[in-house]
Amino acid sequence: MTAASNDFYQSNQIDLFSQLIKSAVGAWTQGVQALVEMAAGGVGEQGGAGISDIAGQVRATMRPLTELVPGALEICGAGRVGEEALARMLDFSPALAHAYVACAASTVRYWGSLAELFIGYETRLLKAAADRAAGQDPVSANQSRMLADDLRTFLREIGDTAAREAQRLQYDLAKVGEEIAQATDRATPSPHPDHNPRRHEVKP
Amino acid sequence: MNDMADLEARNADVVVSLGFSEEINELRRRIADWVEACDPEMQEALAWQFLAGSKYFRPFTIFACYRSLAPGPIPEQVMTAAVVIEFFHNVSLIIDDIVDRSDTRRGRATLHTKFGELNALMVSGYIVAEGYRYLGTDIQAIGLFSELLKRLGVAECMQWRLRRQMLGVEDWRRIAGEDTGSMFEICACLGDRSGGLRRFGGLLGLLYHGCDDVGDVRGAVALGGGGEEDVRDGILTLPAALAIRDPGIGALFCKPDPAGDDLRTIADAFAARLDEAEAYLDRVAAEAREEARAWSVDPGPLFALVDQTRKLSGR
Repeated sequence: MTAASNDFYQSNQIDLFSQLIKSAVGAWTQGVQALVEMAAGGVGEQGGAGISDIAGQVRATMRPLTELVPGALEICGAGRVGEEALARMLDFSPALAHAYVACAASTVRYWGSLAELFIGYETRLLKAAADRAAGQDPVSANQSRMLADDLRTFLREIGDTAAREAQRLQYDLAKVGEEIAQATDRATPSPHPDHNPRRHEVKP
Repeated sequence: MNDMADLEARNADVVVSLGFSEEINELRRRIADWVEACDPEMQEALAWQFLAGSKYFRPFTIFACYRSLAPGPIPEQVMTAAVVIEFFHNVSLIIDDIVDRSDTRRGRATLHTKFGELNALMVSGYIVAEGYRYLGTDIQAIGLFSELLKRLGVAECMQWRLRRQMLGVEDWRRIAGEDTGSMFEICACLGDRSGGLRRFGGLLGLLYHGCDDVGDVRGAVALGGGGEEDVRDGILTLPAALAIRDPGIGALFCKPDPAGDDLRTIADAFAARLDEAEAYLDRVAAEAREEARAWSVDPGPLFALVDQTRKLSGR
């Protein structure tokens, strides 16, 4: 590879890299917005400690994000509107409330994990993008390879985080489902003389 | 102490530290019985391959995954799966030894060196067929072993196709994850039967593969050599993926027919990356422990597995 073609390769790779970082930050902002809209979508009248905790966790999770996405805390503040509405859902059905809390907690954990990832990779990845944008420090072939590896690791870990959280949510919801099944079984036992009470446990 | 006795002593240490002594004895007994019941034409080669020096890490993984979810004795179905995983693991060793042109394994001649390549290939086919027969009607296990054989085949082809190329750590992770990773993923699934520990198994396999890569370089350095086979064939190991970020080393690594001096330079560059590789493996081990904590009732046996595997790098 000639020096000129090497420069061209690195230049295009880093521009692509900057775009990827911008896209990731954009996706993050949209995710926060979706979280807030989900919280604001509930109906009902009474409050609940669980929901306040979750809302608090959301705000705590979003705090470090403000360094990355200006205005994120303002978006998060809008989530308070939804707290009461969410809490009112708790009276509707304990099982439904459990499921709702499991989903909300899962969402918070997911975005919290993503925040950790962003912060963990922020220094190396965003600095490289900023340096590139400012036209400082041409990137060597060695650094370019390390950045490419870091970026690929970052993207894989975003995917891993989603897969891990999906598995956990599936497990939490299966437990709620089993609670519903066992409660139904106790309330309306089968008239059959050999009726066996349901003893199934959801395995991790 | 000679190589064989040293290996046996180390394996005994692993058995003691991980527990399951009775289960491993039972496993050995079943494998010996199986060899005795095989076709007389195959018995000598099978005895040579199976009756010496295994670390039984894969059966241990199956037992530990089962025990992390349920107390009590290991059920018959799980014991059978442990026997068959040892069958399939040995098939992969026989093929690896032929491909790598290795003369010795576990301190003695490899199967193809002792009995010839044709016999080694036929024995490996015989073992696969016996493995499926041995599983009987355990449909879930049959499905998992089929997945394993297919993934191992794909991983070997991928690893060979991608040799001598300027790839990164993420590429290594993909190859290792499909090679050793798939083996331990399936072990975890055979033990837990729910798939909850699949990711733990994959991480354990990745850790095993990486520790093996690092251990080879460390052992080669101690012996004054350079991890010859992988270096010679341009195989992407973890130290290689780190070292070839340096364009000069990368260029040597990609050479189709590197000279002796080139191989020594490459081996030195790999050795210089050992600390970085160890740090990477520490992170994989931490990930595996986190998975164990999240998806087991008692993560103790799984932590012990991670600790034992981590020692394989020889740090």
